[in-house]
Amino acid sequence: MRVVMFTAIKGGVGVSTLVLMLAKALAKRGAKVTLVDMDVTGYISGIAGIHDKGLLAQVVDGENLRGTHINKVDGIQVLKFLGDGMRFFDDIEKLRRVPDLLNKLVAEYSTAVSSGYDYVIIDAAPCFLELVLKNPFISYWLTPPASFRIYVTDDKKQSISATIRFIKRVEDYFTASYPFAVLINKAHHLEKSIEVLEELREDVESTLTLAIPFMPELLRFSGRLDKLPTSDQIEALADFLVSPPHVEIVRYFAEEVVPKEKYESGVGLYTDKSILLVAPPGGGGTRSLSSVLTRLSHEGELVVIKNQFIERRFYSNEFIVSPRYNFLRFEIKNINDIYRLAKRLGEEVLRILTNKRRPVVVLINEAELGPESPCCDVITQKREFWRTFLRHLLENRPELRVVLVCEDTTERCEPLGNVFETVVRL
Amino acid sequence: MRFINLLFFAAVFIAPAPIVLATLGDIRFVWLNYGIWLSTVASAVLFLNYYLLYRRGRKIDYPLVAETPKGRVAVFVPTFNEEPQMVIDTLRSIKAALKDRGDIYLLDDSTKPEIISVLKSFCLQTGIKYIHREDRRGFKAGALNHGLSLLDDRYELLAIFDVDQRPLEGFFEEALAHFQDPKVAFVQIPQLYSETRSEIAKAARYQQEPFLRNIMRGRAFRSAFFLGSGAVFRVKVLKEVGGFVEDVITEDVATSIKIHERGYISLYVDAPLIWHGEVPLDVTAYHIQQNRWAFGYYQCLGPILKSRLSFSQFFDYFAGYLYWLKKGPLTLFELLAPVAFLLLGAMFIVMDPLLYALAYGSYMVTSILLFISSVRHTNYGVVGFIYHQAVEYIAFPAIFSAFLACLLRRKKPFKVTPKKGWKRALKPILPHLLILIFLILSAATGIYKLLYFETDPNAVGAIIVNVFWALYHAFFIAVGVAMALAPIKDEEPLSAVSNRISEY
Repeated sequence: MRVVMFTAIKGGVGVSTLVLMLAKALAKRGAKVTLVDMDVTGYISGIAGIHDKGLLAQVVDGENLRGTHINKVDGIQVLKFLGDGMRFFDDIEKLRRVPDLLNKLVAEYSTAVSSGYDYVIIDAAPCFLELVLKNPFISYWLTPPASFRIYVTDDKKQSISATIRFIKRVEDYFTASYPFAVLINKAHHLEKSIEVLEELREDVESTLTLAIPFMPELLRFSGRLDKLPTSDQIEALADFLVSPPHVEIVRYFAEEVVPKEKYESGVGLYTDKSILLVAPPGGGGTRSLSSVLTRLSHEGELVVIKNQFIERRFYSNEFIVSPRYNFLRFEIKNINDIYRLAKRLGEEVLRILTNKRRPVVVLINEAELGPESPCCDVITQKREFWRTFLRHLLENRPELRVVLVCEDTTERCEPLGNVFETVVRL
Repeated sequence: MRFINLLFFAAVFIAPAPIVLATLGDIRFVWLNYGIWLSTVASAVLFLNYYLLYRRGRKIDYPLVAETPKGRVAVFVPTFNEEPQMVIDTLRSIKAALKDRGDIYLLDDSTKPEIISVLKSFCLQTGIKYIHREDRRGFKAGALNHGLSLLDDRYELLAIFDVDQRPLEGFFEEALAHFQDPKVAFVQIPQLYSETRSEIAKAARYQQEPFLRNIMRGRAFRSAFFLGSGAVFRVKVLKEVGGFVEDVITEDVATSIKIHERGYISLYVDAPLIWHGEVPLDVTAYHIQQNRWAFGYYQCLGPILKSRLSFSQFFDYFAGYLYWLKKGPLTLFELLAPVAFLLLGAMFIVMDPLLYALAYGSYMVTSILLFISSVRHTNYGVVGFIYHQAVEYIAFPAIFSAFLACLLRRKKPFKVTPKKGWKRALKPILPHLLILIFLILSAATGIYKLLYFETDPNAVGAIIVNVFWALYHAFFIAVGVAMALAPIKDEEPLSAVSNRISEY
């Protein structure tokens, strides 16, 4: 399942129409598509014949869900998420205060979008991303950093420069290592717009740029999906999306320990006590990591523990593991030493957490912190080490959350999967 | 000055007196009698101190996780006419380890223009601050103080490296992590003697092993002293004590005393984070080193006695003094004793040999066993013990000459001039050969007497005791002489050195 999100900094640039066009183009290519209406106006929902309140409003109002927020049109599922006017600001505020509501929303949303769909296309309202930035607790499962984002603007100079500023802010917050596109819609001079995009592409480092000319036939669009005209550029975008992705975007989950469904949306990052973040080998994923850390920092006080060789600073609250520890992890003689070292490290971590409130401990990374002794089986020693470490920490500070970053060289991370509550691949 | 410290000091020297009275034989040899008993008392006190420190050191541990260190660091590398390539290699290591935490100052006192120009241009290219003094006032301590006077307030910490000591990556992360506590004045990290290309060098490394692995570990948080290199200081404290002490040739010990008596603490983190320590390769170089160290420590007796150190700190420093006393003048008494008795028939001690053998023998066996058990976590073992003992006999003339120099109130020890060729190899061990001949003669005489003359059980016992000592000393001196004459290996390829480091 891939998530494609359209967004813009202002209304009237044609986001909803583009969403519908892309959905049609993808459906034509045999993909199962679901649309999520996250626009305050509820335009797409209206076209799909949904006249009841959106999912968010229904959940917040405590109504029994009867499926009136979902409808199908021409084989495309449409889910009305927002679309009830400006009340969503208050709704989000209520979600923040009542965790049960959030859990219900996550569960409903996840089941609706994940059952067999290849593409989830989100029509995000102008200022929706803004809201997401301000409310990280809601953002991760709605708009995971792994989604493909498309920023839409018209060809006015001010709109373009404002969009660039916006992209930089958002992509800095998300992960620039994932692809995103910039799209100039309703271009009056196509050539000129393509030139502008060429420059812009270098500036914001976008994966893809698109310019779509002004389409007069859209003025006569009646609201019937089958009558929606097609655009060559959107067809090309659909081709691009169905071709194998440039960046592998996968999550895998510790199915042995926890039911898969819970983590499909990545919400485990925000609820679970112990998380294994699997980073691609060769120092990749550091930007993704920074973005996950930024998000986690809203959850509590972030405490980063790393070894001396990692020079990059991730966070201001950083601790270094002594070079002596490096010798200790090679000196292990038997499994007893592993327990001892794990407890010792646990003790040390607890000591530095003494005055921290709701701490989130981030350990970077497994290869530099875990045991590396020829004494015993590699997998066993690592599992026992981290199991002991986690148990020791969580028994003493139950409110604690622990994140271990594991660089996935020689498949060293996989065996650790079932020691942690959730596993997320960066 | 503290009364209890002085009392303890006096007690060590007075303690033998009653034993002397009880065992005095020939009055002309009362000095030898006293010397032997003082040596016994000194070794007992030394061993007590050693064992207590070993036990204490086992309990000391440092945190494994610490906040990312902050504060700018200045690094001083004092040098004087050293091989420029070695200096440059060391500067490179320091630069790599230091990263962007501060600046390196090369304190060059060299007098040779070709060395000066090479170092100067290297420093210019690499952004290392080059400081040259024309006069060598105060030698190394003077150079450090000169550098200290040039530092502005931006530097919170000061690291010092000799040119033959190269920090590994992680040195600063480790050392700087311990400065959270404002009481910490300096952190010492030991050097790793990797350049052991001769038997003497190997022995010198073994000799350091109990000191670096046990004594210094046990002295952490109390009296761990600056080893002259591989330490990071808090600049504020250094300025408070008026910089490094210049009028003692081992400025490291003297400066440490000043820091400790002000109530600051020092740490000793025993992690292999410095490499390429150059150990003296031949006897001449070894003598120069031991002579310097001994002389410097003898000079420190005054400061130690006058200091306001707490008793336990005093005990540690005083044990250091006793060590040099034991390995210098007191060893002379021990070597003289069997010769005097067996060759000259001097009755300097009169006591029941059985009682002596039981009392001293059991003490000796216990202490050797405890000692070996205390070094079992190091690469020491029985081989190390033999090397260690032997090399201390080799050091004896150098230490003794330092004692004489200090007694004569000289400012510097007697000069030992290294010579080229066979003289360099043989000359320094001539005293040992002489002593060896006397010891073997004495032992032979003793054995001869035992076989053909003596029947009185007391006399037989006395001869056996003395023959034992003559052979004991002779064995280690012979091993030492063999070590001194063994060839020096060529420089090893780097891979061999790194293998040894990984073994460590």
